[in-house]
Amino acid sequence: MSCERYWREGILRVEHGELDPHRDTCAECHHAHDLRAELVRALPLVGGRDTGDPSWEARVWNRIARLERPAAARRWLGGSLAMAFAAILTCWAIGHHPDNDAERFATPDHAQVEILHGDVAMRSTTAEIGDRVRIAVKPTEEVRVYCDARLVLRCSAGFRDRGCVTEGGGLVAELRLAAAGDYRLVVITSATADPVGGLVGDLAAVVAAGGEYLLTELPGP
Amino acid sequence: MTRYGDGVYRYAMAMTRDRHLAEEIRQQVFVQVYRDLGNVGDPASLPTWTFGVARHRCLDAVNARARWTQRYKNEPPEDVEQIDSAPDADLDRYRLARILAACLAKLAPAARDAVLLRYQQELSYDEAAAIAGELPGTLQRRVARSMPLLRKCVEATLQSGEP
Repeated sequence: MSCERYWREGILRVEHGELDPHRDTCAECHHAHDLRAELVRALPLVGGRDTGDPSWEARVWNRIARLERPAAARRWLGGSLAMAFAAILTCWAIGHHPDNDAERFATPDHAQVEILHGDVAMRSTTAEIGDRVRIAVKPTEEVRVYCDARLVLRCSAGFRDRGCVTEGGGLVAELRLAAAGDYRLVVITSATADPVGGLVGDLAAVVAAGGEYLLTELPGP
Repeated sequence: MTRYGDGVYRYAMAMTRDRHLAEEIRQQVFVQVYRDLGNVGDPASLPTWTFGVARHRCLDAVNARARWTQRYKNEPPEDVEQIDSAPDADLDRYRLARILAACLAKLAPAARDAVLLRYQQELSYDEAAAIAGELPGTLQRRVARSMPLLRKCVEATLQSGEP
């Protein structure tokens, strides 16, 4: 004799988290419950050993970078034109070239990034293991560097990892590229929040705190 | 990404039964998560939000494929062959999981979604309901209706001697 009661009614009780006194007295229903438990144990394994493309995270970052490039280019062009205009006006007005440290940190939405090969500083799109990356921002901003979405350097007025210094009126963060990886620079320009673990979660925390940030790809080995 | 990436991929894989589509969905999900981070009020809600995005992408993909199949009478994609390299003790469970994957594909998308959120992703009904935008009771009924169908499908597959 087959008791289909379990599959008709008993299972809904189980999903509701209710007790089913009938099951304790019915061997068929008890067996059916065991079968269900076997299915439930196997369901987390559906697709369990296939984790897809091993480089999927890098592909996601590439897609994000592609999405951001046009906006960044527009910002850069707009910022460059405004700065050029301001420089011409300044030269005309006071008759000297505005080349000082204050200008270096005056760029509102761009950190200054240099790659240091040994003692040589250069703007470069490539870096090797052992090179150092040097980032200069305004003293009120916070610098974070992530490698493969993990925080590896954090510098701000209130929090300084090794490699963070105040220099020329700005905040300078320097990091030795010790390992190959996907390096991302985050400059937090207004209200910040403590890291919660991982790039995406950290950015969400900053946004939740009402902060703003800029995220760019760093040349990595 | 690292924390939720595999879960999203396995969920998309079970929903679509298409490895390439599942990978595409996973990448789209995290691009969207990044782009819309400003809309996430509480970082603690990030996993729910991520799976909510994944669910919409999967249902869109499943529906699009259904329309395509209906219009052009194409066959659905072949079942994805999975490589068994687990120890013997795990083989039965993995074999059952493989059969279950095929049986899940026969459920209606909403029912499949409910079963996967609850038992593949091991979310509570409250969490799954938040993702699906349904009441917990609705999902409980869907799962309760789906489990007997899965059992019958698994038994039929085992009796037919298919791998």
